[in-house]
Amino acid sequence: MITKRIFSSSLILSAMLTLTACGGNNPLSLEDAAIDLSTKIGTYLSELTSSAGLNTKALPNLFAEKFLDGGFTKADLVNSLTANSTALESNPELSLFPIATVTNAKLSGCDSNNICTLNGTLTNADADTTSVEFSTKVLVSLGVVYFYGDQSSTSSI
Amino acid sequence: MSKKFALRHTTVAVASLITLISVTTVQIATAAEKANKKPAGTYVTGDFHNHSTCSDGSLSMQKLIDKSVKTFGLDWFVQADHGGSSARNCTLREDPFEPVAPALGLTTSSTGPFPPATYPTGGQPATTLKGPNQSWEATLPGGRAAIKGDGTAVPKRMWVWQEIQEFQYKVTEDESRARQKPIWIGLEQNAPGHEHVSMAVLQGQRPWPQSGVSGNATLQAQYEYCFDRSDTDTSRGAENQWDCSVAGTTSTDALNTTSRKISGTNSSATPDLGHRKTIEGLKWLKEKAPTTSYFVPAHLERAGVYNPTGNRGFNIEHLRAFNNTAPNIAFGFESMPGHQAADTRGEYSPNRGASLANPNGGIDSVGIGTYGGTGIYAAKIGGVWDALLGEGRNWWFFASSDYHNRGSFGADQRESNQDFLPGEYQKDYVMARKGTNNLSAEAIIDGLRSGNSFAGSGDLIDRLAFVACAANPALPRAAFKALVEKAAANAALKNGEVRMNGCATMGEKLVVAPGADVLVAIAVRDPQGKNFSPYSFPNPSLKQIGITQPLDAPVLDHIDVIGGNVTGIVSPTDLAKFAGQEGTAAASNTSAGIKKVFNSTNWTATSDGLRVMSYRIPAVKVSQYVRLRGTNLPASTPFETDANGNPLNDYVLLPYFDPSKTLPEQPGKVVCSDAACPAHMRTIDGVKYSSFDVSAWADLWFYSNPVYIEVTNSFKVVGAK
Repeated sequence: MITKRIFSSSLILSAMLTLTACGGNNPLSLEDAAIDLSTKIGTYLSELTSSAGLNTKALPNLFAEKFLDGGFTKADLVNSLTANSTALESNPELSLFPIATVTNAKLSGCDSNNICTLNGTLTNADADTTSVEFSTKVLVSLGVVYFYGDQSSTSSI
Repeated sequence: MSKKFALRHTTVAVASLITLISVTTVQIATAAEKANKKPAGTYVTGDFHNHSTCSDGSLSMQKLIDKSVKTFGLDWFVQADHGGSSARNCTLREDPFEPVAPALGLTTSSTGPFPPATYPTGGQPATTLKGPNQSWEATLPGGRAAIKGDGTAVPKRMWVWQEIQEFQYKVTEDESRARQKPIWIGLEQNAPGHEHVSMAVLQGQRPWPQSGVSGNATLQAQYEYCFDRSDTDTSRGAENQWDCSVAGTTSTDALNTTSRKISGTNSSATPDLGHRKTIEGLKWLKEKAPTTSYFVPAHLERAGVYNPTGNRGFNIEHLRAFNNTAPNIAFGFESMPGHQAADTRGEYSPNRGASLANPNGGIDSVGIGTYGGTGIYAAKIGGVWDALLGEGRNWWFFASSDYHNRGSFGADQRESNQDFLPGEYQKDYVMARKGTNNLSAEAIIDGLRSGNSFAGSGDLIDRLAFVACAANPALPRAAFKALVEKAAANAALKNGEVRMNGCATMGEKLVVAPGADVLVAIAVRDPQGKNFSPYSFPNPSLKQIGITQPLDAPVLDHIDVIGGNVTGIVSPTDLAKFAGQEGTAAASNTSAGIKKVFNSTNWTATSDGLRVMSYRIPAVKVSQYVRLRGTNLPASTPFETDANGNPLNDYVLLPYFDPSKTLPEQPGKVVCSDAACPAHMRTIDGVKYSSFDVSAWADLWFYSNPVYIEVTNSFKVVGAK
């Protein structure tokens, strides 16, 4: 039911690929999938200012089960969000963390394991707009793009 | 290096203090404001502690202000002479230019880093009986009769409260409005029971950008009358008929019935009386000017440890007591003192004040000397400052020039063997949130109070954005790091701060959940070009280790990130933790240490001098703080820094002449061998040693105020928002 055609050639990747959105039957191109991910992450990040937003399952669902980024796992992510939710309930002064939007998302460099590079622009506009270009590894699985991390168990950052 | 006062004296002092302070009122604040609630601001440079001939300085008010805000470009300035009485009229301008051959061949205003037409200015140091060295008595139309002053001295000495109220304020306001910079009048208080405090009461003053009707410095004058140790006037300010009582205080009944102020100070007959009077002064400020005054102990190590029967220095318990009494007014110290070009840097030394007649009658400065130009209270990691920060107090670091004179040089000459002019060597960089309005004195005092400031010497850096952010777990690490670093870089380029939710900057606290990662990002600018040093020969201290670097073009070598844990406010009743001299448990924070060192190997440098860096504090479990220091000197620079990069005792580098003059002068440690080393360097047996201003220009530092990180299930940081 799902057509999955991943090409490692960057030239071919620029072409439209047929994917199916999670839970639906609409085919998505890699470009659209990247945009879909960036839209979702932006939405869920913006909701991290409340206990409910911190407890949402939707945000962790954007991360692959094998997500690992500088030693930080998906379980760590869930634990962190839960800890912040708990702390926020007891202390409304909790600073929480900087929020950002992701725009200009593009996928490229997919390998035979369906690991691709997501390039995009990260922007915080709380008061003084700050934007940076970034790239990160993502996993394309069953038509859905998941954050995959650098797969490093240690971090110098 | 004897300690003159035993701990028992301190204990007695504190016991007395505690009877006075029944309730501590440490401020309780919320977490850092949301970004969109912070009006835009910039760091502005200034100095709040310098002298004119109205006390023991050498310049008129006008010339001192001109040097500060024009020659050296400060954005704001505070005229702060000593209290008491004085005979000279500092409101008179310097005499017409009396040529003194400028040193270093800089004979025209188009030479050197100074703006055109400002060097040399009209008037070398005023000579006796000319310019601002003329007496009030000789220059006031009413002569002696117009002086509300003390005694039978000729010329008659005017009470400083009268000088401030009737003469100095007018000049200050006029200068401020004409120059369109906030300039106001303060005081270097001779603090009862202690040495000196830089303070001001802005209330009533109307410096630029205010216009129209003139203001007044009546409250400032009244404070001087009521609480300066050297003001022995009993007239209640003549027609002012001041009363120094403070509502609801226990000491009101100690007011002298005639003078309506507390008479006396620390003495064997009245131990601790002076300190209690100083505390009363803080209560008075809190009552009269709660948001428009400040009280900053000056060069607080210089006069030695506290003496309950004398007027000496400050121990940590006094700083705690000040902050407890008025946390919005007593919020920091001037631990980077002025007098940086003096023969003993900062005028800190052993046996200070000894004389030929009394060769052993001096006092050891706490720490004996300064350390890289900073007193031991702030320079020693884990010492007094870290102990105060370890309580979560709002206790901030400041510097001042404390300008009096240039020693054997004139004010328009560029060498100095005593002081630097305001803005020439040291600066306080203070966040002023002026929005779209003009810079104002109120905004600057708010900035001083906020802790969002840093201080440094020799223009080692001129921009700093320093921020701690809770790491967003849902963003890729590298991307988050890049985002926050970029925000810091942008802020530094704009001379502003990072305004981002989930981040806190200097003087603020970041409140995080247990186990959160915190990203600390720093962007500094090492200004390209020259500072105000008149010397371009190689730095003698760096020359020791094979580095050739002009004294007037210093390069930031590294930045230390210093951190320590916060364990809560110490109760005044817990004497063992509350009171003690430098080096005791009460004055220590053993958790403090260097957490990270950044240098050219791990920061990102750009051609415009920006240096950007960050590091992650993983899984924070306890409340803590981080602060910065930086220098032009690598670790293990002989006689300057130890292997960990800590500054060494400047007194060892610059041993003083024997105060009794009975022993030969001691040589320095660092040879000044360049042919351009100036003639006034300390020279023994034909060898010139780096000394005076050269040694100061060689050894540059900056200190930031802390960013607090409060963990929700750990100790609360009560002193920061």
